[in-house]
Amino acid sequence: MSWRTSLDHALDDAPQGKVRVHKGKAWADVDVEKADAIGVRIGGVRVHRARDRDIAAEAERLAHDLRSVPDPVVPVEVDPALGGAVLRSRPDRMRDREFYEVHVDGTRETAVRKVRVGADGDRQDAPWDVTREQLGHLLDELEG
Amino acid sequence: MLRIDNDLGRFRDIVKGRVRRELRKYMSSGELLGKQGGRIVSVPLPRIGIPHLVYGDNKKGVGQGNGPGQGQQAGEDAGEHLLEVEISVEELAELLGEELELPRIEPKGSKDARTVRHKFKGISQKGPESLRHFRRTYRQALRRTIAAGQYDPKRPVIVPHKDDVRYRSFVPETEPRSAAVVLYMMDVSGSMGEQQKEIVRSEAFWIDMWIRHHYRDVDTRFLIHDAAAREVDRDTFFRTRESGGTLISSAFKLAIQIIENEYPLDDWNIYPFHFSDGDNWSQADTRSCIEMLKTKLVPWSNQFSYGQVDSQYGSGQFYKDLRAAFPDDDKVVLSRIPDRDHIMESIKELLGRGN
Repeated sequence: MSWRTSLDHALDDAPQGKVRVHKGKAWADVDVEKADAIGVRIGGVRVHRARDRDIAAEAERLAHDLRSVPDPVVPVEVDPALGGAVLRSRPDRMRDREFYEVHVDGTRETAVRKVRVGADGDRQDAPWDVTREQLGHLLDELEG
Repeated sequence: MLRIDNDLGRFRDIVKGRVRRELRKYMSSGELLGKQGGRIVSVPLPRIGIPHLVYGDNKKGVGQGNGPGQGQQAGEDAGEHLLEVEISVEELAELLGEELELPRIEPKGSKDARTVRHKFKGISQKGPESLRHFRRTYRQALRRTIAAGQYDPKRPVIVPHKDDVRYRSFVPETEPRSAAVVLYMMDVSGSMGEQQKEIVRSEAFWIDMWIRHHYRDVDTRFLIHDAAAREVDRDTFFRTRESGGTLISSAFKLAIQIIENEYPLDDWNIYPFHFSDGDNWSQADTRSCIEMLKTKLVPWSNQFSYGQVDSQYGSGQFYKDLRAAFPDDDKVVLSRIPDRDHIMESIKELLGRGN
């Protein structure tokens, strides 16, 4: 079963709240604010892979492969010793003080969210509107 | 007083007035950085207007000829250059203090480091010729001549022998001095960009100047960190960029180690400054930082200062965590620096308590 099929089933069953979807031994948690037959407003996504990945290599791969995120992301901090990496939208491609942040947590998990920088510099999670199809692609790319 | 002294005094007043008016610009542009040499700072000033003759309308008349050329064409000569004037660190610090209305720093308690200085207060029979004491040598020779009955008032010739020669000698003296150590710590992890570091550089320059203004001896130490901390020289401090994650606790641990090993708390006024974008790796590390601050760094220091520099990604969490952990502590001073234009306000926040 693909991410998209699993996602459709889960969203149809519970179109709000934390939605868990599975693909083989991998799974993903999607924070869903609302969903309809075509689109979904999400707060963030976390994918748990079935296999371990090298953290530095995974950060590089995501910078190259993550196309479902509207802005290209670049590694900001990569630290295998600390067990993770952070990627963010390229500063020159940011729009309206919003950016996307990807966290590689350990060798198996990757999370992504959209962040808005307030007038006072504070960061807040921003709602992220995607189609179900885009969300399926996003999960594919995060799993790799 | 020579007339030139009056003129020089007036010139210095004009320069100080210009520097005061331009101070905000200097602080945000970092124009003065790298121009400090010892106790003197070289300040670039636009040319100061001085009275000069102006040609009239060039009406022909007795003794009048053709004036300079007319028209709108560009001149061929070089344009005006900035004039660089030298101003002492003390004067610049005074201007900073006046402009920001900074209270004077009062060195705490009896924190006076003892220093041994050698003063030429003694007399010795041995020493280098350069330290020969002529008056004492002569007196000794006179004393010997009189004692030997060889002194003739009508012909008072005194010839010093080798044993008469006396030399100045130094005596070691211990004297107190007000001493301070400033520990600059900076996050150089991947999330701290060049712009953020330039802001830290400007702030450190002015902070340094203000603290040096109040203490006779100031030690400055530079610590950088991402997930690990190390001590570096000033140049490396402002140029290094690492790609690793941020563990702020690593810098605090190193600072504690340096203070414990080299700066007895009874002798030194301690000023740690930490700059970061506030993106610490984990809340666990932040808790560890707060623990170190509460048990060691803050009690040991005159003031602990934290400056959080915003980036295009906004501001990190560490500032809020510190504010929550130290809501009323007078010795913990926090400052948010959104951009270059806020450097002046930030310096005022960090130095405004006079700790």
